[in-house]
Amino acid sequence: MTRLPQEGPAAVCAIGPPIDPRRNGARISRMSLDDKLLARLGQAMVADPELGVVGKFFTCSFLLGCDGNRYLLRVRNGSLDELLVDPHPTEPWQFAIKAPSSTWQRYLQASPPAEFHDIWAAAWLGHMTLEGDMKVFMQHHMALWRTLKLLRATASSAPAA
Amino acid sequence: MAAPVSPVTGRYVDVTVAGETYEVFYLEAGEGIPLLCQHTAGAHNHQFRNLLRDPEVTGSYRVIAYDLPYHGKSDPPHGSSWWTRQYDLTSDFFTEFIVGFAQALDLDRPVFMGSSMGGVVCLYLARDYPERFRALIALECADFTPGFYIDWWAHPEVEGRELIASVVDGLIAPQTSELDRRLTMFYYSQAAPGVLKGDLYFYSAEHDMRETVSTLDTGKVPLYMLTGEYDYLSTPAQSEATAAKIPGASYQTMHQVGHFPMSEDHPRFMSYIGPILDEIDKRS
Repeated sequence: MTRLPQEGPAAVCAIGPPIDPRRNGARISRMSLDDKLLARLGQAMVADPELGVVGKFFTCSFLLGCDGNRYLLRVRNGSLDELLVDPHPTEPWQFAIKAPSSTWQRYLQASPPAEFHDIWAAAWLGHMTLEGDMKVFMQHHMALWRTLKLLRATASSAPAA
Repeated sequence: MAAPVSPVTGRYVDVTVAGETYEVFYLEAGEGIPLLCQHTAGAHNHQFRNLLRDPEVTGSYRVIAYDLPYHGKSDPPHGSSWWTRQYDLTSDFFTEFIVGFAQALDLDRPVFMGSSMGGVVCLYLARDYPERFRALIALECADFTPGFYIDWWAHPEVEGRELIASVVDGLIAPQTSELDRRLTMFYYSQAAPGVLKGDLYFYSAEHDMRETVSTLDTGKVPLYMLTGEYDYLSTPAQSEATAAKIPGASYQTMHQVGHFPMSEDHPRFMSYIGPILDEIDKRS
């Protein structure tokens, strides 16, 4: 498990190869969605004025799954407080959004194709799954929706040099 | 100097359905063939704001966009204790209201156009009241649309307006302008609690015409079906399959459009709906 700390508005995330808890902490290589992308998402969330409006009470933990990779996002008051790559199986989270990498790749396109343009659309049509406490998912949906918009926008923009 | 005043006017008319009278608000503009416009579930008539202001349409059509009771400026019935019962829209109420509204305005066989639940109700109007309409234009319609009658839309531990607006965005095409996207979402944040869910009783709980839709007679009333590429509640494939069951029904997929064609991208919507309105006009 790798912890990617978020240290305020100008935080630069320390990114290292994730640790496989099933292999006694040995580091393994991960290239898919996207520890780097999610770290940049944390910066985008802090900078986003809309999330500043709708994210005041956005405090929850959720998992993004992509193939066998898992990313646990802990959000506090609209900011990405902590990002865990391949979290230990006992780490708690409240809801999860999981999809194969082929779905995430389509979802993250700037102009995504139909059926992959939205998590409800993708879940409705069997390309994605929603798991966990749906009440928490619904309670934070507006801020989560904005966060996922930022994820797409971040994926479409070049990383800072 | 006074500012220019829009030709769109808003008025009220009383409509009685099943013994209860509703004070119904509607917007209208134009002259010619009456074109009744039905908004989607949990929304109101501003979804048709661009159609009402389009002289290409209002030159030959009297465009009338009403608020269904409980929506927009159309109150619940003043004469009964509506707060003591669950609001769940039914096909009987929906169709009787539409026919009653057309009667209240003394409309001569209007064209009816609606989206989502307004598209689905076209199938019921075709079945039960075909002689009352000149044509039916069913947007975002399929013969079976289950799954959206869920409690989360009106739940005391969930902020329903934010939830609904942000869920609705997933039904809007990514190519939609930011203004049209935000207005479509905004309209959805304006409904009273329980109204969206109540509308979806008709759309997702009651509605199932899979076994009967093939009996609709388009010889009595023409049926045009159109669905947006990005609609996941009634996908283009589902709408096309529905149309294929109905002899004489036409179908088109609207590209770069979602579940709200009339409020997402008016020029693009007109590129699809304009020729249909012209065809109806020439036939009339």
